[in-house]
Amino acid sequence: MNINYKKSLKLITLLITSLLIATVSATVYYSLTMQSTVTVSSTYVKFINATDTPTGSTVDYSFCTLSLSTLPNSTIIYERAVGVNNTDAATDHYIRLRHVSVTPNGTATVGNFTHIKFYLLDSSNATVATLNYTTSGNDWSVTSDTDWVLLVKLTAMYIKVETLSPATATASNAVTITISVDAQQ
Amino acid sequence: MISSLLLLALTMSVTLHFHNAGATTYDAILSRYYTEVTSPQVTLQNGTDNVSSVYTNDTSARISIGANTSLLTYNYSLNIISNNSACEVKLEYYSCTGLEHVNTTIALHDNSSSSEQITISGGNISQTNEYCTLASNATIYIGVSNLIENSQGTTTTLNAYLRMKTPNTTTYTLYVITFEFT
Repeated sequence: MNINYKKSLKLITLLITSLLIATVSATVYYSLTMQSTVTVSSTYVKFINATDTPTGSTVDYSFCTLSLSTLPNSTIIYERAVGVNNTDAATDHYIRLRHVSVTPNGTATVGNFTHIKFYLLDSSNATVATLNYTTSGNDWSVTSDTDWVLLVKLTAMYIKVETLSPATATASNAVTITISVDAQQ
Repeated sequence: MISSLLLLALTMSVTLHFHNAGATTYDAILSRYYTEVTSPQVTLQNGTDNVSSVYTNDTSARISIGANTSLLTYNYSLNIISNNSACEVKLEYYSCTGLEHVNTTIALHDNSSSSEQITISGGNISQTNEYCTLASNATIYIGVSNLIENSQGTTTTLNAYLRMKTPNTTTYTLYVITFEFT
């Protein structure tokens, strides 16, 4: 029996190459498993009704919708539009006001507003943070998110709102602003 | 060697600090504010004394009166009209110039009762901060009384807010009213 050494050598080379490719292709990894337990819990910082919460508003613990007015060429102030209450009996929490959205923006409707200002008042009515929405032409601009301020356990702060429209504002035009009250855990 | 270790420890400490500061965990509760332009519930109107200019939308006005060396009184310089529900109103000044030019008293009245609001006397100004009631669908008036000129050649300008407060709340509206005594 004649052995074809040339062919055998080719076959061995091919086999070694295949093994090499298979080894290199195989990703070697460790498996780390993270187990997260997510429980439904309620926040300690909650919205509450206040002296100036307008009729037609809804105030739930973690979400509120307020119906406000603005007048041409005059200022309306809601000293205590809504309350922010720390229900935690054990811990103070830091809170801040953070812009989320303003609608509409970039349209002629914006020209019906001059500014809408939000003030965070402590229990003695002193301003501890502000978030201001102002208009220029068809556009709204808003100041940066506020600094974190301390909401002492079992006390409340209040959001004051100031609205102003230009003399040329037309009734029924509206804007919706959404603001998050962030509360550190 | 020790200084290198100290530097390393300091660097790690600073890094950890920034890491903690950046990783704030917080709950976000959302508040939504639907704000609509509305028609004024209280409007201003030139009074029978005809000394006022009322501006667009009837929410601001200028009262201009010439003073002289005789006492003058304008009881109906500006009308304040409620087009709907009742509110509490008062005048409060926020800036003024040339106070030495005149003496006068500014009041709110409804023909039967009067509430003194702002007094200018001898270059000084004072205000009572007293609210009076504007009943629903009623009218009250701004009266300027005992106006007398102290010195010639200047003008007294008084910028004031007409503050209208919704009863049993701390919600209020501010109209600008300018008094000018020439």
